[in-house]
Amino acid sequence: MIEVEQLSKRYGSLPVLREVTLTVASGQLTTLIGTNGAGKTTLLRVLAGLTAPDGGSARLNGVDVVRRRTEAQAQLAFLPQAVRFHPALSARQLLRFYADLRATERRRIEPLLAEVGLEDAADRPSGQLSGGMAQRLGLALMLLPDAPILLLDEPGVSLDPTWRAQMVALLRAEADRGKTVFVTTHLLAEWQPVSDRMLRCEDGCILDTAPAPVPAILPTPAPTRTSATPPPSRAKPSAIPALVLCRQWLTTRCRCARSPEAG
Amino acid sequence: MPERWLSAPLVRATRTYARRELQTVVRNRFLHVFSLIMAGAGTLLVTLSGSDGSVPVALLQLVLYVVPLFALLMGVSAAHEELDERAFLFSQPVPRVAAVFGQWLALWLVLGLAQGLAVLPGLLTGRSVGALLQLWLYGVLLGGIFTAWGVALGYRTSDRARGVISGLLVWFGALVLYDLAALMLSHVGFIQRVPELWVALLMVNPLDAVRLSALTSMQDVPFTTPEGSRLVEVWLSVLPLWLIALTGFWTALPLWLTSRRLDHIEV
Repeated sequence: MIEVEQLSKRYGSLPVLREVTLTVASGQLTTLIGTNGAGKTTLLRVLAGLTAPDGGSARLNGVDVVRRRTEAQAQLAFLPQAVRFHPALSARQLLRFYADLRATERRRIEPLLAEVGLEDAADRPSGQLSGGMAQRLGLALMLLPDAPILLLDEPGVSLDPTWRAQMVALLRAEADRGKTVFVTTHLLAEWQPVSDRMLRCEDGCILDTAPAPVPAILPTPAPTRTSATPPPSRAKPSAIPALVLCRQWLTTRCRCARSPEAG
Repeated sequence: MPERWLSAPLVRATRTYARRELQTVVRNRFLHVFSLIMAGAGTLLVTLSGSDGSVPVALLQLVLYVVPLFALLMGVSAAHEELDERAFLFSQPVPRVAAVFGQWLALWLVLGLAQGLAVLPGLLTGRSVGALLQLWLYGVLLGGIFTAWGVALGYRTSDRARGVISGLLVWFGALVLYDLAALMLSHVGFIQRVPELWVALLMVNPLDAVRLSALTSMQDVPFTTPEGSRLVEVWLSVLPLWLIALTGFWTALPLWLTSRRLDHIEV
Protein backbone atom coordinates (compact mmCIF):
# COMPACT_ATOMS: atom_id res chain seq x y z
CA MET A 1 0.00 0.00 0.00
CA ILE A 2 1.16 3.51 -0.77
CA GLU A 3 0.13 6.30 1.59
CA VAL A 4 0.94 9.88 0.74
CA GLU A 5 -0.02 12.78 3.00
CA GLN A 6 0.29 16.48 2.27
CA LEU A 7 3.31 15.83 0.08
CA SER A 8 4.86 18.92 -1.46
CA LYS A 9 7.90 19.53 -3.58
CA ARG A 10 9.34 22.63 -5.22
CA TYR A 11 12.11 23.03 -7.73
CA GLY A 12 13.38 26.50 -6.89
CA SER A 13 10.34 28.71 -6.79
CA LEU A 14 8.29 26.33 -8.92
CA PRO A 15 5.90 24.12 -6.98
CA VAL A 16 5.78 20.65 -8.55
CA LEU A 17 3.72 18.81 -5.95
CA ARG A 18 1.12 20.73 -3.93
CA GLU A 19 0.19 18.97 -0.70
CA VAL A 20 -0.71 15.76 -2.44
CA THR A 21 -2.69 13.28 -0.40
CA LEU A 22 -3.25 9.86 -1.84
CA THR A 23 -3.72 6.22 -0.95
CA VAL A 24 -3.03 3.38 -3.37
CA ALA A 25 -4.31 0.06 -2.14
CA SER A 26 -2.57 -3.30 -2.42
CA GLY A 27 -3.77 -5.63 -5.13
CA GLN A 28 -4.75 -2.77 -7.38
CA LEU A 29 -3.41 -1.37 -10.58
CA THR A 30 -3.62 2.39 -10.32
CA THR A 31 -2.88 4.62 -13.26
CA LEU A 32 -1.85 8.24 -12.99
CA ILE A 33 -2.33 10.39 -16.03
CA GLY A 34 -1.53 13.99 -16.66
CA THR A 35 0.13 16.46 -18.95
CA ASN A 36 3.88 16.92 -19.19
CA GLY A 37 5.23 18.75 -16.16
CA ALA A 38 2.16 17.99 -14.08
CA GLY A 39 4.24 16.33 -11.35
CA LYS A 40 3.72 12.62 -12.13
CA THR A 41 7.39 11.75 -12.42
CA THR A 42 8.33 13.79 -9.35
CA LEU A 43 5.71 11.94 -7.31
CA LEU A 44 7.14 8.58 -8.39
CA ARG A 45 10.70 9.74 -7.71
CA VAL A 46 9.74 10.79 -4.21
CA LEU A 47 8.13 7.40 -3.63
CA ALA A 48 11.23 5.66 -5.01
CA GLY A 49 13.49 7.55 -2.59
CA LEU A 50 15.28 9.43 -5.34
CA THR A 51 13.99 12.88 -4.46
CA ALA A 52 13.32 14.28 -1.02
CA PRO A 53 10.00 16.07 -0.54
CA ASP A 54 9.87 19.54 0.95
CA GLY A 55 6.94 18.63 3.16
CA GLY A 56 4.48 15.91 4.00
CA SER A 57 5.11 12.21 4.17
CA ALA A 58 5.03 9.10 2.03
CA ARG A 59 4.89 5.52 3.29
CA LEU A 60 5.29 2.28 1.43
CA ASN A 61 3.61 -0.57 3.29
CA GLY A 62 3.90 1.55 6.41
CA VAL A 63 7.60 2.42 5.99
CA ASP A 64 8.41 6.12 5.74
CA VAL A 65 10.26 6.88 2.51
CA VAL A 66 12.22 9.83 3.89
CA ARG A 67 13.14 8.60 7.38
CA ARG A 68 13.80 4.96 6.46
CA ARG A 69 14.71 5.21 2.81
CA THR A 70 16.52 1.92 2.35
CA GLU A 71 13.83 -0.05 4.18
CA ALA A 72 11.15 1.65 2.11
CA GLN A 73 13.06 0.88 -1.08
CA ALA A 74 13.05 -2.80 -0.13
CA GLN A 75 9.27 -2.63 -0.60
CA LEU A 76 9.43 -1.38 -4.16
CA ALA A 77 10.74 -1.82 -7.64
CA PHE A 78 10.88 1.30 -9.76
CA LEU A 79 11.18 1.51 -13.53
CA PRO A 80 12.18 5.04 -14.53
CA GLN A 81 11.17 6.57 -17.81
CA ALA A 82 13.47 5.61 -20.72
CA VAL A 83 16.06 3.96 -18.49
CA ARG A 84 19.36 2.88 -20.08
CA PHE A 85 21.73 0.39 -18.55
CA HIS A 86 25.50 0.02 -18.62
CA PRO A 87 26.17 -0.49 -22.33
CA ALA A 88 28.88 -3.11 -21.81
CA LEU A 89 26.81 -5.43 -19.64
CA SER A 90 24.48 -8.00 -21.13
CA ALA A 91 20.90 -8.56 -20.01
CA ARG A 92 21.96 -11.70 -18.15
CA GLN A 93 24.87 -9.93 -16.42
CA LEU A 94 22.60 -7.06 -15.40
CA LEU A 95 19.98 -9.44 -14.02
CA ARG A 96 22.68 -11.26 -12.05
CA PHE A 97 24.05 -7.98 -10.74
CA TYR A 98 20.66 -6.77 -9.52
CA ALA A 99 19.81 -10.20 -8.11
CA ASP A 100 23.01 -10.10 -6.05
CA LEU A 101 22.46 -6.48 -5.07
CA ARG A 102 19.01 -7.24 -3.66
CA ALA A 103 19.96 -10.70 -2.42
CA THR A 104 17.38 -12.24 -4.75
CA GLU A 105 17.74 -15.79 -5.95
CA ARG A 106 19.29 -16.06 -9.38
CA ARG A 107 16.91 -18.84 -10.43
CA ARG A 108 14.32 -16.20 -11.34
CA ILE A 109 16.56 -14.86 -14.09
CA GLU A 110 15.97 -17.38 -16.87
CA PRO A 111 12.14 -17.43 -16.56
CA LEU A 112 12.13 -13.64 -16.57
CA LEU A 113 14.29 -13.49 -19.69
CA ALA A 114 11.82 -15.82 -21.37
CA GLU A 115 8.87 -13.80 -20.13
CA VAL A 116 10.14 -10.61 -21.73
CA GLY A 117 11.36 -12.39 -24.86
CA LEU A 118 15.06 -11.74 -24.38
CA GLU A 119 16.40 -15.31 -24.21
CA ASP A 120 18.15 -14.96 -27.57
CA ALA A 121 19.57 -11.54 -26.77
CA ALA A 122 20.47 -12.31 -23.16
CA ASP A 123 24.21 -12.25 -23.74
CA ARG A 124 24.29 -9.25 -26.06
CA PRO A 125 25.67 -6.03 -24.52
CA SER A 126 22.73 -3.88 -23.48
CA GLY A 127 24.17 -1.02 -25.53
CA GLN A 128 23.38 -3.05 -28.64
CA LEU A 129 19.74 -3.66 -27.72
CA SER A 130 16.97 -1.76 -29.47
CA GLY A 131 14.90 0.74 -27.49
CA GLY A 132 12.08 -1.74 -27.11
CA MET A 133 14.37 -4.55 -26.02
CA ALA A 134 16.00 -2.24 -23.46
CA GLN A 135 12.55 -1.47 -22.06
CA ARG A 136 11.75 -5.16 -21.82
CA LEU A 137 15.04 -5.62 -20.02
CA GLY A 138 14.01 -2.85 -17.64
CA LEU A 139 10.73 -4.63 -17.04
CA ALA A 140 12.55 -7.89 -16.27
CA LEU A 141 14.90 -6.08 -13.89
CA MET A 142 11.94 -4.48 -12.17
CA LEU A 143 10.12 -7.78 -11.74
CA LEU A 144 13.25 -9.62 -10.57
CA PRO A 145 13.09 -8.86 -6.83
CA ASP A 146 9.37 -9.72 -6.61
CA ALA A 147 8.80 -6.47 -4.69
CA PRO A 148 5.30 -5.86 -3.29
CA ILE A 149 5.06 -2.37 -4.81
CA LEU A 150 5.78 -1.66 -8.47
CA LEU A 151 6.24 1.91 -9.68
CA LEU A 152 6.47 2.53 -13.41
CA ASP A 153 7.05 5.89 -15.04
CA GLU A 154 5.53 5.93 -18.53
CA PRO A 155 6.42 2.34 -19.28
CA GLY A 156 6.38 0.83 -22.73
CA VAL A 157 6.78 4.03 -24.71
CA SER A 158 9.28 2.40 -27.08
CA LEU A 159 7.45 -0.92 -27.23
CA ASP A 160 5.46 -2.09 -30.21
CA PRO A 161 1.70 -2.60 -29.62
CA THR A 162 2.06 -6.35 -29.13
CA TRP A 163 4.70 -6.06 -26.42
CA ARG A 164 2.88 -3.13 -24.86
CA ALA A 165 -0.23 -5.26 -24.57
CA GLN A 166 1.82 -8.06 -23.02
CA MET A 167 3.40 -5.65 -20.56
CA VAL A 168 -0.01 -4.30 -19.54
CA ALA A 169 -1.30 -7.84 -19.08
CA LEU A 170 1.78 -8.77 -17.08
CA LEU A 171 1.32 -5.87 -14.71
CA ARG A 172 -2.39 -6.60 -14.39
CA ALA A 173 -1.43 -10.13 -13.36
CA GLU A 174 1.02 -8.75 -10.79
CA ALA A 175 -1.78 -6.64 -9.29
CA ASP A 176 -4.00 -9.72 -9.21
CA ARG A 177 -1.25 -11.44 -7.21
CA GLY A 178 -1.75 -8.79 -4.54
CA LYS A 179 0.89 -6.30 -5.54
CA THR A 180 0.46 -2.56 -5.59
CA VAL A 181 1.05 -1.40 -9.16
CA PHE A 182 1.26 2.35 -9.73
CA VAL A 183 1.79 3.53 -13.30
CA THR A 184 2.09 6.95 -14.88
CA THR A 185 1.20 7.12 -18.54
CA HIS A 186 -0.15 9.09 -21.46
CA LEU A 187 -1.56 5.96 -23.11
CA LEU A 188 -5.04 6.20 -21.64
CA ALA A 189 -6.72 3.80 -24.01
CA GLU A 190 -4.32 1.00 -23.17
CA TRP A 191 -4.29 1.36 -19.42
CA GLN A 192 -7.83 2.34 -18.57
CA PRO A 193 -9.43 -1.05 -19.33
CA VAL A 194 -7.11 -2.86 -16.95
CA SER A 195 -6.83 -0.21 -14.27
CA ASP A 196 -8.70 -0.50 -11.02
CA ARG A 197 -8.39 3.19 -10.55
CA MET A 198 -7.46 6.20 -12.66
CA LEU A 199 -5.97 9.28 -11.06
CA ARG A 200 -5.18 12.56 -12.71
CA CYS A 201 -2.26 14.78 -11.93
CA GLU A 202 -2.46 18.41 -12.93
CA ASP A 203 -0.33 21.27 -11.80
CA GLY A 204 1.05 19.32 -8.85
CA CYS A 205 -2.31 18.10 -7.57
CA ILE A 206 -3.89 14.67 -7.71
CA LEU A 207 -7.46 15.01 -8.85
CA ASP A 208 -10.60 12.97 -8.58
CA THR A 209 -10.59 9.29 -9.26
CA ALA A 210 -13.71 9.09 -11.36
CA PRO A 211 -12.85 7.56 -14.70
CA ALA A 212 -13.96 9.55 -17.66
CA PRO A 213 -14.95 8.23 -21.04
CA VAL A 214 -11.84 8.12 -23.13
CA PRO A 215 -11.79 7.97 -26.89
CA ALA A 216 -10.21 4.79 -28.19
CA ILE A 217 -7.25 6.43 -29.83
CA LEU A 218 -4.80 3.58 -29.95
CA PRO A 219 -5.36 -0.13 -30.44
CA THR A 220 -6.32 -1.52 -27.08
CA PRO A 221 -5.05 -4.93 -25.99
CA ALA A 222 -7.58 -7.43 -24.76
CA PRO A 223 -7.86 -6.80 -21.02
CA THR A 224 -6.96 -9.75 -18.85
CA ARG A 225 -9.44 -8.72 -16.22
CA THR A 226 -12.52 -6.62 -16.08
CA SER A 227 -11.70 -3.23 -14.69
CA ALA A 228 -13.25 -2.19 -11.43
CA THR A 229 -14.12 1.10 -13.06
CA PRO A 230 -16.88 1.48 -15.61
CA PRO A 231 -15.71 0.65 -19.11
CA PRO A 232 -14.88 3.62 -21.27
CA SER A 233 -17.07 4.51 -24.18
CA ARG A 234 -15.51 3.49 -27.46
CA ALA A 235 -15.51 6.31 -29.91
CA LYS A 236 -14.39 5.76 -33.44
CA PRO A 237 -10.74 6.48 -34.12
CA SER A 238 -10.43 10.13 -34.74
CA ALA A 239 -8.28 12.00 -37.17
CA ILE A 240 -7.22 14.29 -34.33
CA PRO A 241 -3.83 13.25 -32.92
CA ALA A 242 -3.94 11.26 -29.73
CA LEU A 243 -2.11 13.76 -27.62
CA VAL A 244 -4.45 16.56 -28.57
CA LEU A 245 -7.42 14.46 -27.49
CA CYS A 246 -5.76 13.58 -24.20
CA ARG A 247 -4.91 17.18 -23.58
CA GLN A 248 -8.48 18.28 -24.27
CA TRP A 249 -9.83 15.61 -21.99
CA LEU A 250 -7.52 16.63 -19.17
CA THR A 251 -7.89 20.36 -19.43
CA THR A 252 -11.66 20.28 -19.53
CA ARG A 253 -11.96 18.14 -16.44
CA CYS A 254 -9.33 19.55 -14.09
CA ARG A 255 -10.46 21.03 -10.82
CA CYS A 256 -7.11 21.14 -9.12
CA ALA A 257 -7.56 23.68 -6.41
CA ARG A 258 -11.00 22.43 -5.43
CA SER A 259 -10.20 18.78 -4.93
CA PRO A 260 -6.67 18.38 -3.59
CA GLU A 261 -7.31 14.97 -2.11
CA ALA A 262 -7.77 11.71 -3.83
CA GLY A 263 -7.86 8.35 -2.22
CA MET B 1 33.10 5.59 10.83
CA PRO B 2 29.35 5.13 11.27
CA GLU B 3 28.35 1.63 12.28
CA ARG B 4 25.99 1.25 9.35
CA TRP B 5 28.94 1.60 6.97
CA LEU B 6 30.28 -1.66 8.20
CA SER B 7 26.91 -3.39 8.21
CA ALA B 8 26.58 -6.57 6.21
CA PRO B 9 24.32 -5.12 3.48
CA LEU B 10 26.91 -2.44 2.75
CA VAL B 11 29.72 -4.97 2.50
CA ARG B 12 27.63 -7.24 0.24
CA ALA B 13 26.56 -4.37 -1.97
CA THR B 14 30.12 -3.05 -2.21
CA ARG B 15 31.33 -6.48 -3.27
CA THR B 16 28.57 -6.69 -5.87
CA TYR B 17 29.39 -3.26 -7.28
CA ALA B 18 33.11 -4.09 -7.33
CA ARG B 19 32.42 -7.28 -9.26
CA ARG B 20 30.34 -5.36 -11.77
CA GLU B 21 33.09 -2.77 -12.17
CA LEU B 22 35.65 -5.50 -12.79
CA GLN B 23 33.38 -6.83 -15.56
CA THR B 24 33.12 -3.46 -17.25
CA VAL B 25 36.53 -1.89 -16.68
CA VAL B 26 38.15 -4.23 -19.19
CA ARG B 27 36.62 -2.13 -21.96
CA ASN B 28 37.76 1.17 -20.46
CA ARG B 29 39.98 2.85 -23.06
CA PHE B 30 41.93 4.72 -20.42
CA LEU B 31 42.91 1.38 -18.94
CA HIS B 32 44.01 0.10 -22.36
CA VAL B 33 46.20 3.15 -22.96
CA PHE B 34 47.56 3.07 -19.41
CA SER B 35 48.48 -0.61 -19.69
CA LEU B 36 50.24 0.02 -23.01
CA ILE B 37 52.22 2.92 -21.57
CA MET B 38 53.20 0.91 -18.52
CA ALA B 39 54.23 -2.19 -20.46
CA GLY B 40 55.98 -0.19 -23.18
CA ALA B 41 57.89 2.07 -20.81
CA GLY B 42 58.91 -0.80 -18.56
CA THR B 43 60.25 -2.81 -21.48
CA LEU B 44 62.00 0.13 -23.14
CA LEU B 45 63.69 1.28 -19.95
CA VAL B 46 65.03 -2.17 -19.18
CA THR B 47 66.22 -2.60 -22.77
CA LEU B 48 67.83 0.81 -23.21
CA SER B 49 69.09 1.74 -19.75
CA GLY B 50 72.82 1.49 -19.10
CA SER B 51 72.83 1.03 -15.36
CA ASP B 52 70.56 -0.89 -13.00
CA GLY B 53 69.85 2.15 -10.87
CA SER B 54 68.53 4.29 -13.69
CA VAL B 55 65.47 2.09 -14.31
CA PRO B 56 63.68 2.81 -11.00
CA VAL B 57 64.50 6.51 -11.21
CA ALA B 58 63.01 6.76 -14.69
CA LEU B 59 59.99 4.71 -13.64
CA LEU B 60 59.49 7.04 -10.69
CA GLN B 61 58.64 9.82 -13.15
CA LEU B 62 56.10 7.49 -14.75
CA VAL B 63 54.54 6.79 -11.36
CA LEU B 64 54.40 10.46 -10.47
CA TYR B 65 53.04 11.76 -13.76
CA VAL B 66 51.10 8.98 -15.44
CA VAL B 67 49.51 7.01 -12.58
CA PRO B 68 47.61 9.95 -11.03
CA LEU B 69 46.42 11.13 -14.43
CA PHE B 70 45.00 7.79 -15.51
CA ALA B 71 43.63 7.01 -12.06
CA LEU B 72 41.65 10.26 -12.20
CA LEU B 73 40.44 9.66 -15.75
CA MET B 74 39.43 6.07 -15.07
CA GLY B 75 37.55 7.06 -11.93
CA VAL B 76 35.66 9.82 -13.73
CA SER B 77 34.92 7.53 -16.66
CA ALA B 78 33.64 4.70 -14.45
CA ALA B 79 31.27 6.98 -12.55
CA HIS B 80 29.93 8.46 -15.78
CA GLU B 81 29.21 5.05 -17.30
CA GLU B 82 26.46 4.70 -14.66
CA LEU B 83 24.87 8.08 -15.29
CA ASP B 84 21.90 6.86 -17.35
CA GLU B 85 21.28 4.00 -14.95
CA ARG B 86 21.64 5.98 -11.76
CA ALA B 87 17.92 6.43 -11.05
CA PHE B 88 17.40 2.68 -11.32
CA LEU B 89 20.55 1.92 -9.29
CA PHE B 90 19.72 4.32 -6.50
CA SER B 91 16.16 3.06 -6.20
CA GLN B 92 17.60 -0.24 -4.99
CA PRO B 93 17.51 -0.86 -1.23
CA VAL B 94 21.23 -0.60 -0.64
CA PRO B 95 23.33 2.30 0.67
CA ARG B 96 24.31 4.54 -2.23
CA VAL B 97 27.84 4.76 -0.97
CA ALA B 98 28.31 1.10 -1.91
CA ALA B 99 28.48 2.18 -5.56
CA VAL B 100 31.37 4.53 -4.80
CA PHE B 101 33.25 2.05 -2.62
CA GLY B 102 32.76 -0.79 -5.07
CA GLN B 103 33.92 1.17 -8.08
CA TRP B 104 36.89 2.58 -6.25
CA LEU B 105 38.01 -0.82 -4.95
CA ALA B 106 37.75 -2.46 -8.38
CA LEU B 107 39.55 0.37 -10.14
CA TRP B 108 42.29 0.46 -7.54
CA LEU B 109 42.85 -3.25 -7.93
CA VAL B 110 42.96 -3.10 -11.72
CA LEU B 111 45.19 -0.04 -11.76
CA GLY B 112 47.56 -1.70 -9.30
CA LEU B 113 47.79 -4.78 -11.49
CA ALA B 114 48.33 -2.70 -14.62
CA GLN B 115 51.17 -0.84 -12.91
CA GLY B 116 52.84 -4.19 -12.45
CA LEU B 117 53.41 -4.19 -16.22
CA ALA B 118 55.92 -1.37 -15.80
CA VAL B 119 58.07 -3.14 -13.21
CA LEU B 120 57.62 -6.66 -14.57
CA PRO B 121 60.40 -6.49 -17.22
CA GLY B 122 62.83 -5.23 -14.59
CA LEU B 123 61.79 -7.93 -12.14
CA LEU B 124 62.15 -10.64 -14.81
CA THR B 125 65.68 -9.53 -15.56
CA GLY B 126 66.47 -9.35 -11.86
CA ARG B 127 67.57 -5.72 -11.93
CA SER B 128 66.93 -3.47 -8.90
CA VAL B 129 64.24 -5.79 -7.62
CA GLY B 130 63.86 -4.09 -4.25
CA ALA B 131 63.63 -0.60 -5.70
CA LEU B 132 61.16 -1.71 -8.35
CA LEU B 133 58.87 -3.34 -5.81
CA GLN B 134 59.06 -0.24 -3.67
CA LEU B 135 58.18 1.84 -6.69
CA TRP B 136 55.24 -0.39 -7.48
CA LEU B 137 53.97 0.08 -3.93
CA TYR B 138 54.26 3.85 -4.27
CA GLY B 139 52.28 3.63 -7.47
CA VAL B 140 49.59 1.53 -5.80
CA LEU B 141 49.26 4.09 -3.01
CA LEU B 142 48.97 6.97 -5.48
CA GLY B 143 46.55 4.92 -7.58
CA GLY B 144 44.27 4.50 -4.56
CA ILE B 145 44.24 8.21 -3.81
CA PHE B 146 43.66 9.47 -7.32
CA THR B 147 41.12 6.78 -8.23
CA ALA B 148 39.08 7.90 -5.23
CA TRP B 149 39.27 11.52 -6.41
CA GLY B 150 38.38 10.44 -9.93
CA VAL B 151 35.29 8.54 -8.81
CA ALA B 152 34.32 11.48 -6.59
CA LEU B 153 34.66 13.89 -9.52
CA GLY B 154 32.65 11.53 -11.70
CA TYR B 155 29.77 11.58 -9.24
CA ARG B 156 30.12 15.32 -8.79
CA THR B 157 29.96 16.26 -12.48
CA SER B 158 26.94 15.79 -14.70
CA ASP B 159 28.64 15.19 -18.04
CA ARG B 160 31.74 13.43 -19.25
CA ALA B 161 33.53 16.51 -20.62
CA ARG B 162 33.26 18.38 -17.33
CA GLY B 163 34.37 15.30 -15.46
CA VAL B 164 37.47 14.86 -17.60
CA ILE B 165 38.34 18.56 -17.40
CA SER B 166 37.96 18.46 -13.60
CA GLY B 167 40.22 15.42 -13.50
CA LEU B 168 42.87 17.16 -15.58
CA LEU B 169 42.68 20.24 -13.34
CA VAL B 170 43.14 18.18 -10.18
CA TRP B 171 46.09 16.38 -11.77
CA PHE B 172 47.71 19.63 -12.92
CA GLY B 173 47.03 21.26 -9.58
CA ALA B 174 48.51 18.45 -7.51
CA LEU B 175 51.51 17.95 -9.76
CA VAL B 176 52.43 21.45 -10.88
CA LEU B 177 50.44 24.27 -9.29
CA TYR B 178 50.95 23.00 -5.75
CA ASP B 179 54.72 22.90 -6.16
CA LEU B 180 54.75 26.30 -7.84
CA ALA B 181 52.84 27.72 -4.91
CA ALA B 182 55.25 26.03 -2.51
CA LEU B 183 58.22 27.49 -4.39
CA MET B 184 56.74 30.95 -4.23
CA LEU B 185 56.03 30.56 -0.54
CA SER B 186 59.63 29.53 0.06
CA HIS B 187 60.63 33.16 -0.55
CA VAL B 188 58.32 34.46 2.12
CA GLY B 189 60.20 35.58 5.21
CA PHE B 190 57.99 33.75 7.66
CA ILE B 191 58.40 30.44 5.84
CA GLN B 192 62.17 30.94 5.68
CA ARG B 193 62.29 31.42 9.44
CA VAL B 194 60.32 28.18 9.96
CA PRO B 195 61.60 25.75 7.30
CA GLU B 196 59.65 22.88 8.87
CA LEU B 197 56.50 24.55 7.68
CA TRP B 198 57.71 24.42 4.10
CA VAL B 199 58.71 20.79 4.45
CA ALA B 200 55.30 20.09 5.96
CA LEU B 201 53.69 21.68 2.92
CA LEU B 202 55.50 19.21 0.70
CA MET B 203 54.86 16.25 2.90
CA VAL B 204 51.07 16.66 2.90
CA ASN B 205 50.95 16.45 -0.88
CA PRO B 206 51.08 12.72 -1.65
CA LEU B 207 52.97 13.30 -4.91
CA ASP B 208 55.70 15.29 -3.19
CA ALA B 209 55.78 12.87 -0.29
CA VAL B 210 56.32 9.95 -2.68
CA ARG B 211 58.92 11.90 -4.64
CA LEU B 212 60.88 12.77 -1.49
CA SER B 213 60.54 9.25 -0.13
CA ALA B 214 61.76 7.73 -3.38
CA LEU B 215 64.70 10.12 -3.64
CA THR B 216 65.84 9.51 -0.09
CA SER B 217 65.43 5.75 -0.26
CA MET B 218 66.36 4.86 -3.83
CA GLN B 219 69.06 7.41 -4.50
CA ASP B 220 70.25 7.99 -0.96
CA VAL B 221 69.71 11.72 -1.38
CA PRO B 222 70.15 13.34 2.04
CA PHE B 223 67.00 15.08 3.19
CA THR B 224 68.09 18.00 5.29
CA THR B 225 67.03 21.52 5.99
CA PRO B 226 69.69 24.28 6.30
CA GLU B 227 69.79 24.19 10.09
CA GLY B 228 68.66 20.63 10.55
CA SER B 229 65.20 19.89 11.77
CA ARG B 230 63.76 17.64 14.39
CA LEU B 231 60.56 17.34 12.35
CA VAL B 232 62.42 16.14 9.27
CA GLU B 233 64.26 13.55 11.32
CA VAL B 234 60.99 12.26 12.73
CA TRP B 235 59.50 12.15 9.26
CA LEU B 236 62.39 10.23 7.85
CA SER B 237 62.14 7.68 10.62
CA VAL B 238 58.43 7.02 10.03
CA LEU B 239 58.30 7.63 6.29
CA PRO B 240 56.48 4.41 5.25
CA LEU B 241 53.89 4.90 7.98
CA TRP B 242 53.50 8.53 6.99
CA LEU B 243 52.84 7.55 3.39
CA ILE B 244 50.23 5.01 4.43
CA ALA B 245 48.52 7.52 6.71
CA LEU B 246 48.62 10.15 3.99
CA THR B 247 47.12 7.71 1.51
CA GLY B 248 44.41 6.81 4.00
CA PHE B 249 43.52 10.45 4.54
CA TRP B 250 43.55 11.58 0.90
CA THR B 251 41.59 8.47 -0.14
CA ALA B 252 39.02 8.62 2.64
CA LEU B 253 38.36 12.33 2.14
CA PRO B 254 36.83 12.16 -1.38
CA LEU B 255 35.02 8.91 -0.59
CA TRP B 256 33.51 10.41 2.54
CA LEU B 257 32.54 13.65 0.79
CA THR B 258 30.95 11.71 -2.05
CA SER B 259 29.05 9.40 0.28
CA ARG B 260 27.67 12.39 2.17
CA ARG B 261 26.65 14.06 -1.06
CA LEU B 262 25.05 10.94 -2.53
CA ASP B 263 22.97 10.48 0.61
CA HIS B 264 21.23 13.78 -0.06
CA ILE B 265 21.50 14.14 -3.81
CA GLU B 266 18.35 14.21 -5.94
CA VAL B 267 18.78 11.69 -8.71
